[in-house]
Amino acid sequence: MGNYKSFTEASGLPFDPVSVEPYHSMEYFEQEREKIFARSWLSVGRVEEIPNAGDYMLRDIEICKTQIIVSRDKSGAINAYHNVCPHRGNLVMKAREGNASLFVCGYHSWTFGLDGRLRGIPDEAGFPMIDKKTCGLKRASCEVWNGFIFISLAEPPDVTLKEFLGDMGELLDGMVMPFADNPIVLEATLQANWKVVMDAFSESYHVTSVHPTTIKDSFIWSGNPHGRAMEMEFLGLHRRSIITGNPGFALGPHQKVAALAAAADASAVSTTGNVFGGESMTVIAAMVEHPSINTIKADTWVNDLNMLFPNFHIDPSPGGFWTHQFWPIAPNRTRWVSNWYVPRPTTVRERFQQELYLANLAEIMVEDIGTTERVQLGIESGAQPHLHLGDPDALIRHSLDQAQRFINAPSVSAALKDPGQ
Amino acid sequence: MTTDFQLPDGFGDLAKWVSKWVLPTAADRLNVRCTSKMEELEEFYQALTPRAPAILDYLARYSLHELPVEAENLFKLLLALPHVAMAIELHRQPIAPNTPYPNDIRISRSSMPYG
Repeated sequence: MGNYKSFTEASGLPFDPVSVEPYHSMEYFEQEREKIFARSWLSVGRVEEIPNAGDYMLRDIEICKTQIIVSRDKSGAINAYHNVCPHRGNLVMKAREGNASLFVCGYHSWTFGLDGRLRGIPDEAGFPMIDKKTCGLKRASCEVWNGFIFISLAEPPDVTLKEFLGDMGELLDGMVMPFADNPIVLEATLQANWKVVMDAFSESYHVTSVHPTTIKDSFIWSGNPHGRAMEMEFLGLHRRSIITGNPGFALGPHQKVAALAAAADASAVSTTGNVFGGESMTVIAAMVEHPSINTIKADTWVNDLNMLFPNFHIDPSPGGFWTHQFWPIAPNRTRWVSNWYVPRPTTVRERFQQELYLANLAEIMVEDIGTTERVQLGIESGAQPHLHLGDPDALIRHSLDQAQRFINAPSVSAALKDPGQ
Repeated sequence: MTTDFQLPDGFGDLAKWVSKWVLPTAADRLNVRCTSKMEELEEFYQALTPRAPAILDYLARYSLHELPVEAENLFKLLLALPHVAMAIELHRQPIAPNTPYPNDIRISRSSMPYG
């Protein structure tokens, strides 16, 4: 590690400590609401979640105080509407997901087509003042990239999704997303700022301290004793890094249950210690061939962190891919949703392997998430008005800088024109 | 009396674990592990681990989605083992060090069936 590369220097950002204000202040949160979340393209799900005409799902954008219906129409197109009835303001759909040929409001049974248009008013004679043609569900902009559905609450957005994703979108474009129809989902609502939660998944410096019994052995080794990222890239609003692991990692003699799950197929243990059936590893190999992945071609590649502004991570690994979403609710409250995409088990053994995967995952996540509320308490104490970030935290520094630039920019297109790098 | 055990023939030795560890979902299995004493976890682990290869061999004759009830019970016992293994093999205590329990993490979509 003699020729140490400074990622902070590469980011072009000053070495100064950063203010904790964005992590706790209501004023800053209001700016995030108005300038970041109301203007950005936000990832709300995958196309596989609503495969058929009439399939829909509800998505909460708490910080913008709205709930969105994301649905597929008869032409196969995906649309997004605010789930609010124009009659008296009730939330129209109640079930979180389902299939509907019409959206029917539970209050007075006003009905709307999959195109959002008002189709029926019970006792319509009493509503001569209503023009059904103009009185439908309010649309939100909706676009799809690589199977990920994004919405924008801007009216209208001043850049396309493709423009918004920029170099990051181009880099990841066309990546195979294995098992995208079958996530294991872990979520939590936490007493912590959304960036505190996001930061917990933005560096590997914490692995030794936070994950001593779970993943430390698969990450940390004499060649990289502090879990440094091998590469970071700063791509305008977005950012990414490449994480490597311990080349000598093997299941320990004490890990009898993991060995048992893998026994039928030694190739089923990926370098991150995930255990899947051998056939599914072939599908994952198709993803791993994508040019964006492990660009430094490290033999010990563990995963890429692809952090899409403002609140979405897509992380491919030799064991498949996962995503994180960080939804702000209040300055000190966040809804975190993580999706771990896995093959559908076809045999008892594969199902057993997935229980092991899930059991491992639950441990790792509770370790990551367990730190966030303590960090928030510490930040809110005011004892340390600044965070003293180092090189392992360079993505966090970049994230904070981009958020501030975005807030300051008069428009999204202006923010994209001047990324400050 | 074997019907009372609701386990397949040949696995009656595991009957004492049925009432506590045959559970419908992964969240239930995780929760029971996190709220059990280490001695209980150790005892379950020592009983199940050496029997696990035989359980997997036995269950391999069935389709995952068409397990008879006794086989399903046996499988659910086995599905508790990975959770118990976290405590025994990794943490040497029922929950991960320095983590809160109860915590707010929910498994809102699991591996199916028996998720």
